[in-house]
Amino acid sequence: MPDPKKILIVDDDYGFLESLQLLLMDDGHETIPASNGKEAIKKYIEFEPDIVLLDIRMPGIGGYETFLHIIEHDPNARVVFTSAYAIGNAQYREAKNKRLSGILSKPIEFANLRRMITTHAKK
Amino acid sequence: MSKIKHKIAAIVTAQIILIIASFLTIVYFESQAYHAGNIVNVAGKNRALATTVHAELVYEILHYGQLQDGGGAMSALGDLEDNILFLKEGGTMHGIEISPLSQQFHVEWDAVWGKFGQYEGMVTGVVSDGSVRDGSGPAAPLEIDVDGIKRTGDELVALSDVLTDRLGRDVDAHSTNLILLQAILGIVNVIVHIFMIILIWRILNKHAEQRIRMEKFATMGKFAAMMAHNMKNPLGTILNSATLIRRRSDDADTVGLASDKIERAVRHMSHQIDGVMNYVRDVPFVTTTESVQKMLRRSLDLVSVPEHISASLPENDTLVTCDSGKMEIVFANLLLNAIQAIGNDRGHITIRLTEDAEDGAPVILEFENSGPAIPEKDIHSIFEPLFTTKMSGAGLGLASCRSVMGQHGGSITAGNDPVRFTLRIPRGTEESKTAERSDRDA
Repeated sequence: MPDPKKILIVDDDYGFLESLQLLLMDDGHETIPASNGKEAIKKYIEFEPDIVLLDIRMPGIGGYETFLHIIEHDPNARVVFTSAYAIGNAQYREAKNKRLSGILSKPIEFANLRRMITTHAKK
Repeated sequence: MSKIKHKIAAIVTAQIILIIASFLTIVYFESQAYHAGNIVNVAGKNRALATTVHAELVYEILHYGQLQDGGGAMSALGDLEDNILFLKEGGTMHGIEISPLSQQFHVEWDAVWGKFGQYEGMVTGVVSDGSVRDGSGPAAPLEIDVDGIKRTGDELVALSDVLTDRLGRDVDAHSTNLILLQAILGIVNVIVHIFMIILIWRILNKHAEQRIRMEKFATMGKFAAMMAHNMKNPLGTILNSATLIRRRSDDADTVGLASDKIERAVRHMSHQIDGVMNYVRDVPFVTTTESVQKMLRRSLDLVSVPEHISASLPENDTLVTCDSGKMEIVFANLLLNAIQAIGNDRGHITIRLTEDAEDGAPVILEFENSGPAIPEKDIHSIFEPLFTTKMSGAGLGLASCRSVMGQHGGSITAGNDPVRFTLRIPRGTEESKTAERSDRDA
C-alpha cells in the first residue's frame, strides 16, 4: 500500500469523479472532490493537497486556467492533467515550463496513476 | 483552388485576345475600305478636271482667239495629269491619302493614261503653233480643231468613268465583305462568351461541391473528436469501477474474470478512440525514453492475440525516446491488422527489431504476418484515411499510424512476400527536438 496522500480530484463528470475517489480511497488516500475550476482553486487553498488530478475541459474556468491559478498560489503545487485530448501541443509545453507534473489520458490505467502519485505527490 | 483560378484566368485572357483581334481586323478592313473610297473620289475628279480644261480652252479661244501659255486651260491640264498619276502611284495629295492602284485596274488606267497623252498633245499643239502670245494684238484667225479636242476630251472622260465605275464596284464589294466579317466576328464572340459562361459556371459548381464535401468532412471530424472525447469519461468510470470491483471481490474467480473482460473491452474502445483522436486532433506530444520490448508487450496485452495465432517478439531490445502512448497505438494497430488479415486460419506474427550501429540511424521494427498479400493496386492507398477493405472499421488505423510516425519524424512502409509493415523510429534523444517536429507536423 503506498503512502497515504491528500489528493484533490477535479472533474465535472460526477461518475468519473466518484469512481476515481473510491479507487483512491481504497488505496488509503484522502480525497477532496471538486467539480469545477473555481471550486478547485478554493479547495486547493483550503486543504493544501499533495497532488491535484485536474480535468482540462470544464465549464467556467477551464483546467488550464485553473492550473495557472494554482501554480501562482503555490509554485510548488503538483498538478496532473487527466484529459490528454483537450489540450494542444503549445499549451502543453507552456504548462510543462510552468512545472506541470504530468498528463494521464482517460480512461486512466490505475498502475500509471499510482506511479504518477508516488513520483510527484509532495512527500 | 489555384488551379481553378488559373483556368478562369486562361479563359478570360483568351477572350480578351479574341476581342482585340476582332477589333483590329475590323479596323484594318475599315481603313482598307476608306482608302478604296478615296480612290473612287480621286478617279471621279478626272471628269471635273477634264471638263475644266475644256471650258478654259473654249473660253480662252473665244476671248483671245488662242490659248494662253500658263493660262487656266494649261494649269487645269497639269492638274489633270497630276491627278491621273496620283491615282496610280498613291500617297497623299491635298490631304487625301490613297494606296497605290491595285494591279487589277492597270488596264483601265493605261487606257486613261494613253487617251490623256493624246489629249494633252492636241491641247499643247494649239499653244505651240507659233501664234502671237502676248494677247495685245488682234487675234490671228487660227484653224483650231475645237471639236476634235472636245471629242478626245469626251473619250478621256468616258475611259476615266469606266475606271471610276470599276473602282466603285470594288468598294461596294469591300463594304459587303466588311459587313459580313463584322457579323461573323460578332457571332463568334457571342459563342465564345456563352462557352466561357458555361465553363466558369461548371468550374464554380465543381468547386462548390468540393467545398461542401470538405466542410462535411471537417464537421464530421469535429463531431468525431467531440464524441470520442465525451466517451472517455464514461469509459474512465467503467474502468475505475471494474478495477475496484475486482479488488473488493471475495469470489475472485468469477468476478475477477468479469472485471477482466470489462477492462479489456474498455481498453479496446479507448484504443479505437485514440485512433480517431490522433488522426483528427493535435494531441500533445508526451515523450519519454522507453524500451521497445515493453511497449510491444503492452500493445499485445491490448489486442489479445487469439490462440490459433502465434506472435513472436524480438529477442533484442533498445531504448527510444518517443510518445509511448502513441507508439503503442501504432504497434496495436499493426497487430490488429495482422490478426484480422490472418483470420481463422492458423498463422503467425513475427516482430523483428534491427538496430544500425551507425550514429543517428533509426531503429527498424518489422511486423511480418502469414496473412494474404496486400493487392498491388491497394499498396499505395492503404495509408490514406478512410481507405478500408474490411467489413468493419473506419479505415483510420493505418492513416493514424502514418500520422503518428510522421510526428516522430519516422516512417511506415508496407511490402509483400511475406506481408510486412516496416517502422523506422528515430531514437530522438532530445525531447525538444521531437516536440518541435510534432509542432511542424501538426
